[in-house]
Amino acid sequence: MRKRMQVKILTDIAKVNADLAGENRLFFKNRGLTVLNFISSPGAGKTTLLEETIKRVNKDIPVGVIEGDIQTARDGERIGALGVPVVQLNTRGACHLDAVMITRAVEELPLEDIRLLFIENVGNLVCPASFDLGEDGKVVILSVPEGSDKVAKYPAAFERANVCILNKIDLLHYTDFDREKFYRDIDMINPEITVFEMSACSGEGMEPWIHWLKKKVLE
Amino acid sequence: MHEFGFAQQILFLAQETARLNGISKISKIKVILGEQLNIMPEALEFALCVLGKGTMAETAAMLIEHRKAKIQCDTCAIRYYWAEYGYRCPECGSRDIRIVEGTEIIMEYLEGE
Repeated sequence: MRKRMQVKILTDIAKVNADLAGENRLFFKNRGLTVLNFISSPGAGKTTLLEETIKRVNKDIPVGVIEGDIQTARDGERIGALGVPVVQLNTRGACHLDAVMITRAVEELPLEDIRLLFIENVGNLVCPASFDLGEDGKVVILSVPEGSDKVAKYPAAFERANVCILNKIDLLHYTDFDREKFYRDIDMINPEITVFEMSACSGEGMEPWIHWLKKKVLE
Repeated sequence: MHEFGFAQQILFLAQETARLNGISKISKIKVILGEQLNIMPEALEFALCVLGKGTMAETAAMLIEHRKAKIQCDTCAIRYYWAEYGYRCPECGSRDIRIVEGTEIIMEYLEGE
């Protein structure tokens, strides 16, 4: 009979993704690409925000997009209609994008024509926060109808993001969204975060965000 | 929610390690699970059970040790548990902090024959 044995491994599984993300980050840096990872619940307005942002910056800064969805090419088609290069990823059930998906997706993009790369993560306020893709920054979007309590209830995304967009502010009057509570929680969890209030749909409040974005690319 | 992805990597690494060490049947896999990864231990075990069917890890038990998220305050240099005090240092009130433990999922060892 063979002997029972124990083998030490001591490998951080999460590090597999972290290492790949590090490679992506170096690749992006060497190409002078600014990369932003957009995270939110389904329906917070990520795709509309991207559409409206692209319309405002694409003349000055050429944009490319990686679209992550569990299923369908609908978001990719919406972005493609604006005439910018887009790669649609379907995770077929997986709840987040990871670094290797991005490594493969960028191979399909005409990188020489792009300076700013938007990654729209799978609609999910939990898992995408745990997976570094190699981006320069995370943008977390919270929409007014979701409620002001979500920052404290789902802190990881807010804690790790550089920018928070409070979207659909045109609906503030119709909901019980508590703006003060929102800022209190944000301040507790991530005092460094930059917050932009806007309605991507109506265009209200878009300008400061566009200004921030252009500055970020020129950095 | 992303337990299956991690289970797949654990299974891959377990099989690799077993092969390199002349093990043909894995009986136990020990994993240290960081609090900040949002992984449900039951779901991870279930995922390994499903994915492990027909492999040398088919009957392997998974032993999970939980690791709390620990935060280091860079102002006064103390360390504290995130679950107890959150993102503000309980000693000096500083928010100049960083997570030093609890974002990892470490495959510590496996047992087999």
